[in-house]
Amino acid sequence: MNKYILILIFTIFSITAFAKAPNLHVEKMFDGSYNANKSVSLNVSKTPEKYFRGCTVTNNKSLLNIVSQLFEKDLPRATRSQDITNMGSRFRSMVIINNGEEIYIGLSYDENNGCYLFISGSQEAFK
Amino acid sequence: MKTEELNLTIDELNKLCHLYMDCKLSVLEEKELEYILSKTALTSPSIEEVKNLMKIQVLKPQYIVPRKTTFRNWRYISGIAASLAIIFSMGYYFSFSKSSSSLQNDSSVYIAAYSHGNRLSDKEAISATYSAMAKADSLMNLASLIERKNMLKANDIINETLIN
Repeated sequence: MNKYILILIFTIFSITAFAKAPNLHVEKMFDGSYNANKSVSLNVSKTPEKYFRGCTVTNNKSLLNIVSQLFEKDLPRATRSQDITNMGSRFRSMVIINNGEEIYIGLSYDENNGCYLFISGSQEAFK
Repeated sequence: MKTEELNLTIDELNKLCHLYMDCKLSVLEEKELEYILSKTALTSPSIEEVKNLMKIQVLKPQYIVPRKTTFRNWRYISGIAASLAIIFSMGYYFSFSKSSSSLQNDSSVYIAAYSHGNRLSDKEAISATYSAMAKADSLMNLASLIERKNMLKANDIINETLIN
């Protein structure tokens, strides 16, 4: 009987672990704590095809550092990453695989202590 | 017992059966006949009568009665089957509830936008989000273009170095 209970518990754990949310650090920018921030513009979109988050930071060095740090924290999970500096502007990106789907995270730096962070991917990647 | 003795004809068997019924067989011969009758597929009224007398048919059900181990195996098998049924039904329940909730999410399109601390109206949010998406797309395209350009440049340098 104990054997069957163990099998049951194992199966339940397997089922719950099958699909999991990516739990990205950069998603902290979209948890509601920056909605009222004057230096931040946020875009949140969820359609059947696409999951999209966009965050624009304007002229706020401390916030820029926070975004950079969050990006850095997610970087070890990336399967691909880029760091391009072209004509004075810097763009960093990474691809994280979750539930077998790609999540694209981009971070573009502005000249005036600002940045644009975005997260894009299919809905399946965020379940 | 020799195998030749098992290949008796029906007449021979009938004759032996008659001898048995007339009590003209020795104890050893009776035993041999009992063995032959238990193995033979031949049948006749006298053979059946002797079989009944020898209670050969009574012995047959012994082979049909399920052994205790078989019964125990069935208990294990039914236990495993029940566990599997529970596991599959739970898995189905979880996957169904998950898919139904995902369907609910899929059917709804959610767009929201905040600009400098203020929530935008639905219309403004849609246009702001679409322009944000377009900006993201152009950044991704630009990044891949630059990467390709840099890779080509790197390949040219490598080729030049190899030629020289």
